Amino acid sequence: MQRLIAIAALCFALLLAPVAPTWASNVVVDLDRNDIDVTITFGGTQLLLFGAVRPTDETTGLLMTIEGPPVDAMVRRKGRLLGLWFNLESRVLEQVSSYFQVFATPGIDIAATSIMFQPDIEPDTRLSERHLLQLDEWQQAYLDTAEAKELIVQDAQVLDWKSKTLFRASLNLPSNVTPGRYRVRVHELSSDRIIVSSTTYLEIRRAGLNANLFALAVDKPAYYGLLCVVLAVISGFGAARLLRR
Amino acid sequence: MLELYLPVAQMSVNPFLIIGFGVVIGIMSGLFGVGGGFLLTPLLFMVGIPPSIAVGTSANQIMAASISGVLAHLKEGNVDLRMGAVLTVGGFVGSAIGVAVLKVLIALGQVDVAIKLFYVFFLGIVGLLMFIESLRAYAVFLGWVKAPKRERKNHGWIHGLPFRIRFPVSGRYISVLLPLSLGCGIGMLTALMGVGGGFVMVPAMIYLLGMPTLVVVGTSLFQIIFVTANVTFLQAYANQSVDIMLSVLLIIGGVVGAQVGARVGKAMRGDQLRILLAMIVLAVAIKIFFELVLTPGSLYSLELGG
Repeated sequence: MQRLIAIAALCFALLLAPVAPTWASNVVVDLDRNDIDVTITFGGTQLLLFGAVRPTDETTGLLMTIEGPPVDAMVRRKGRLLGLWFNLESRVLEQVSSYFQVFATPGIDIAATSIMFQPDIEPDTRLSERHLLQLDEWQQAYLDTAEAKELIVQDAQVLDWKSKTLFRASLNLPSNVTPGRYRVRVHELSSDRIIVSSTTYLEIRRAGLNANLFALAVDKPAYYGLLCVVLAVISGFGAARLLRR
Repeated sequence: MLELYLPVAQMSVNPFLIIGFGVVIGIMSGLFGVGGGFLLTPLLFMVGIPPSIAVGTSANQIMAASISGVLAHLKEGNVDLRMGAVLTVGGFVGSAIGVAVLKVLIALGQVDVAIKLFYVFFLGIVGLLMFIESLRAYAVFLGWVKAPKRERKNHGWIHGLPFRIRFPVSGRYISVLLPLSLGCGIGMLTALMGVGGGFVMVPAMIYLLGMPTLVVVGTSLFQIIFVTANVTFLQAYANQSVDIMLSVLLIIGGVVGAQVGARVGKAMRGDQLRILLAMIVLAVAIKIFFELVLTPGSLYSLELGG
């Protein structure tokens, strides 16, 4: 709640400032939460993104991207061999965003995916130049499979204007998100040229029992294995006692 | 809706659904006296649990179920401890091989196809044999055919094998190589399929080792405990493929289900039960067979690394 108030105050200040020569950016963005704990009861969550912009005469719209931490993605393709479907071919896509969504205000025409496999968008970038990228088969397969896992939405989603200056969007984070640092960027556009950008971050991390069990399973697998065996022994004897009654 | 996050599988599941699976497996074990791992692993596939984790975690659940099951048999003296020990030694070797093979399959990206192939092959054969045998038994009961004369088959080559030792509880004097290799083979199945292997072990004990029916189930359960313990440890250690939260849910469901199954089982005839079991086994085999041969909805699959 305190965050919300702070943001509201910030938006308000931005609106009131008649001239703000020291103001670096005309656009701000934030989230209703900047930390998400993946605990044992985590089943995915919804996030609210909101921000404010002080539109200039040039401003025609906004583009917002949310990128998950980069991961190496193994994409496999099945093929038929002796009548059965095996994984015959595979490709590792190095350091692709594990999560990617794009929001744009109405009227902004952008193929969301065309910016994902490219270097960062800088001020003065023209989006029309970004459309030239042809995705190869494996990149497209990555997008399709990740979309099926709800980690990527390939089409740009609508960024709602709440007033002339305020905008917001809601973000769906499924339970299979990769923990790590998520980057949220908003670009203010003049036709297809980026005027100014703003960035904020979202931290998703394992917490509590989930973090402990994960760390044990990965860092000390021998202890973890023993723990599983002990669990079975105790519950096996416990069940026998229960069943005898 | 309540969700529970699985720390190793790194996804959330509906805990009641998983407990429900445990109940189904528990009922199976109460009804048929088999562990039900062959049904559990495919059920876990269906809700999107990665195959290697389904297989590894199944072994952990079967271990708990076998411990609670063996205690009654131990009390009654229906366990051939010496035979169990020999089978366990073989099982340790076989399961270590199986876990290593699984590791290679994971690296090759063929783990799901391979596991499904094993399922179709073994469940198909065992289900068919069981179906024919139980139908024949039921026909005898109905008086349609005469009971075939039981003769202890004299496999010449089996008695020619060296290193014969005595198994007093089973009343057998056979080569130690026989139970060792049987245990080894079933240990591999445990590692590769996430099954206890009772559905292969029990008939093999009767027909191959010639053990009396009374001690077969107890001895099978006894060795399954140690082999699944070994598999649990090795899968967790080598493949990071045991999810302890998933185990907990399955074990809870299994305890409830075993209660139900034992009660229902008393009301049904043995040969009817076996026909039912055979049909379930065959249905699972056929379903997985179609998954292997039908054109998949998507040709591509994705695995996110670190």
